Amino acid sequence: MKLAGSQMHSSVPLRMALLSSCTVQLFPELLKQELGAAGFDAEFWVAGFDQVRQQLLDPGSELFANRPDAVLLYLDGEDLFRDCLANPFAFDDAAKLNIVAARAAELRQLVSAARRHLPETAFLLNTIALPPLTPLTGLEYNSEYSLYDISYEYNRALSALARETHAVIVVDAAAVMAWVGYRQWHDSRLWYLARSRWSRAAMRELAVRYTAAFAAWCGPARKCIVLDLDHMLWGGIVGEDGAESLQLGEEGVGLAFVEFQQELLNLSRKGILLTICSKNNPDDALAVIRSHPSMRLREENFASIRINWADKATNLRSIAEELDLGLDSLVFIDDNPAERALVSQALPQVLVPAWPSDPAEYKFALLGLAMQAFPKLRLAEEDRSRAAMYRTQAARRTLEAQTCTLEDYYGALQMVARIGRADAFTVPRIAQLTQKTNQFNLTARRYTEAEIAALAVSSEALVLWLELADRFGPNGLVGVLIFRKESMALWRIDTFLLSCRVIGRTVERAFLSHACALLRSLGIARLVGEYRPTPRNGVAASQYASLGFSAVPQPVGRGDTTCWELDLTRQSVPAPEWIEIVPVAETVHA
Amino acid sequence: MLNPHLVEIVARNFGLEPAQITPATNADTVPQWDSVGHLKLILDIEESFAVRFSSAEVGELTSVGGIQIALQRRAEG
Repeated sequence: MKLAGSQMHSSVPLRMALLSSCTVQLFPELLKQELGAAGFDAEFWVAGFDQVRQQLLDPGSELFANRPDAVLLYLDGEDLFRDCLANPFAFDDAAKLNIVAARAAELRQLVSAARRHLPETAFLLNTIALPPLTPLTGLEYNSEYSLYDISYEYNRALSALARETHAVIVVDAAAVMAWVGYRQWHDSRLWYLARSRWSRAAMRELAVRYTAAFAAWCGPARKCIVLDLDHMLWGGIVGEDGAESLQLGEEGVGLAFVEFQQELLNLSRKGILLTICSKNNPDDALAVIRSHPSMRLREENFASIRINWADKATNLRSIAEELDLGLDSLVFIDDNPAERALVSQALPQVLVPAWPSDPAEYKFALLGLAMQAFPKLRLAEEDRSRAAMYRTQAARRTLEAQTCTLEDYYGALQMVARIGRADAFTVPRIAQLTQKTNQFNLTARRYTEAEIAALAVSSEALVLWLELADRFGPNGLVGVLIFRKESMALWRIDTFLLSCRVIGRTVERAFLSHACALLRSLGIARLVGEYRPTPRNGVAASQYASLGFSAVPQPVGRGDTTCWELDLTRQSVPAPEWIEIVPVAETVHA
Repeated sequence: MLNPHLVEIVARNFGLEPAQITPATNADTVPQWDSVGHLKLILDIEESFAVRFSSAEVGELTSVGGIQIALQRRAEG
């Protein structure tokens, strides 16, 4: 996909060296174009045919004298393993793996030798794939003869190299070959006449991938996707067709929207912010986002939402301002060409990609766009929590200005907690929270969906969930309490956790207060809680003490675990007055 | 008469003025028309005219006149 409307402020000069096991002389022209579109003004130095070792090992080589910013070292699988491909019956497993190990070790050596002379330079290496039609076709996987393990083992060694060396970037040329298709990737005329392993189609797609990889190495360019709603996140127009008639779900093209949303969600897990800019009645659109059963994206997944009738350029400016981002961090996705034209004209810094009109094409259009506009080589912890961070930041900024005491702050949040027993709808999320909650998690016990489902229907256990909404919208299901029966009168708190999104808002107090009242109504007299320290849950260490539990002596051999008790016949946990609690009746049982 | 589209592709590839190009223009008379330049030219022509030459043709089509004849043969065939 061409990134139409992409305008960079200035071009960054870039010196790139190309070394290869085959002819790559036709490649620089295409790569220069692609790099140019991404804001690099590239100059190339291309090593002579089969000069890889000489250039990388000779301290006086022309390569080192050139001081390139990036070395593109392309080694083709058919060159590296020419002997195995030429006579695949001659090598047993051990011999084959020895060859792979030797080639991988040589590459590692070459790179490390070159890095001594070029310490600042990025090294772009490539995965390999062998031709999908060989004399072993048929035998492969069915007999002891195989070639597939060559590329598998070699690529694994590459990955190890990249993960231990920051300057090494692996470009997945094998994936490009699969994407293009070998018959389009390989132009046998160019191979026999010029020793080029690539067709022009292959070079075009490779240019895109190499550019994305190098851009990623230089740092992320764009940070945020701005999305339209109608005919974008769902089919149809909510204001006209109504929420029930939208195309969204398992039926037909409705699945295209579900899968598109799923990929957006995955991008947000890569640290890319999702925002909405839609011309709609906010109530209509928000109702779909909050309660349509097939929505993959909910309000909590969006860092900023603009649903109104103002023009989109104005809304984009205000989104950028709210998130404290430059306009050049935004990518605007809209199915309406008129809106795209307006935005790219009014805000040339915003990236406005061409967009397919058929929703069936959305998913791969998005993945292609993400590869180019949001390239990433490594993922930081911060990427994973960025969306939540921005959301709370924005909220806090507004509230800070308006509140002075902590109580005022809690009050101003207008929190509403819905509390209910686990059912078929909530079991998956409850299990997920037990799996991934680390901070406010007093016992850090991990459960599968099946285990939670079993506990939910057991008469020996009680599984409660808590959903929190505040004036900024729903936070989703963020709390879990699991009680287990020890005896008629004594129950134990097996699990007590809150998502990190809502720590520090006294939600735990409201949750336990309600739960204690419930247990008391069931005739339970005593409640025991445990705190099992982990490297991450220090925030919850004094929880039971502050909720009014008394410490009880340690059973022998329980490590650092502390135990706490509450006498339900005489004590209760006072509920914070600033949280409204809404008990939810049971629905369908798991 | 030479196909103006072909002339334009040759001119662009080798930095020539379209007026300079005749059927006799060939790899020996144009310095930029080297082996890499030749492959680039052939690939450009294949894309523009939606044709595919055989490996033998790719080797032989080293003059503008020769290319034109090959293209005409494709159009007639």
